[in-house]
Amino acid sequence: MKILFDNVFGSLQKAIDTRFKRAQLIVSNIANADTPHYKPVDIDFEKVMSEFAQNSNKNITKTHYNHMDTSEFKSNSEAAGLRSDGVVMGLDGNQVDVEKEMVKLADNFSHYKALLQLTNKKLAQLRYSINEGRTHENLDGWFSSCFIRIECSKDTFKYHCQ
Amino acid sequence: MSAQRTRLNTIASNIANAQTTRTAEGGPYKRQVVVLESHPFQDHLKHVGPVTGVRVAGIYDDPSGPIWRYEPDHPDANEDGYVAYPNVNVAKEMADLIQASRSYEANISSFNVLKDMATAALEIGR
Repeated sequence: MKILFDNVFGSLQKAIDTRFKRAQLIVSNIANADTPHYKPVDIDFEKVMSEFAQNSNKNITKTHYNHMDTSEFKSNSEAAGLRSDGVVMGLDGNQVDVEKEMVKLADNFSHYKALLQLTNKKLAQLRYSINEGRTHENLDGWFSSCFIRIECSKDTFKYHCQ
Repeated sequence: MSAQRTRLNTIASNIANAQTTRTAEGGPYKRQVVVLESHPFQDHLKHVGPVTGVRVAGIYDDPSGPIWRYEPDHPDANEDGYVAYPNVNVAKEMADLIQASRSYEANISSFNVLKDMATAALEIGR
């Protein structure tokens, strides 16, 4: 049951969510490229994910069934990972470097797609188990899921191939 | 994008009125300047997040004075023979126009990326 109930889906969800939020921030930076005195904002993805990884290990035990579920509050670390860095680009005090933001957006997008592929492979792996490993193509899916997981672990989050 | 479109429209109107010496307010046409500002989005619980949009803070008159040209035959010439022309520099307006149009394009690209991300998320589990 390790495949079903490990917290990989939780990490993936958090990672995809953070990537999407980061994209929204970058897009708002690009939209404000002509706004005087605007400072670009960004999320430190690694920081958010490492805090998530730390917090998900600290499960608070409920001693009463009426206690609030803490899982919703555990990973509210976007604000902590929020940073604002930039140099003044023009005379109007705007600090947005549009080229830099576009590169960040493209980079974020490819990481996001990799995460979606991971999720798909994870689901394919699950489907493979449900089908009792009958079809040949699902076998392919399982092996490639192992491969991609190792590739992505470098800068997203640590997860070992089983 | 609509803010950039407002900028484009304003610049177009500046260029169109580059030679207008009579306006409803009297005097020559005054160059219009669009000022943009960022405003935070609110989520459904009225929380103000770090994501900010952009909107037009206002359209203001350029405070610089008119350009005086000596044209004694012109019906709007003053007693010294000078005509007040709008404070519009067409070359500057063209540069602004290209900049606004590039900003518009950058916003289209970023919109497309966000749209692709949302579409890709819908493909999970296919």
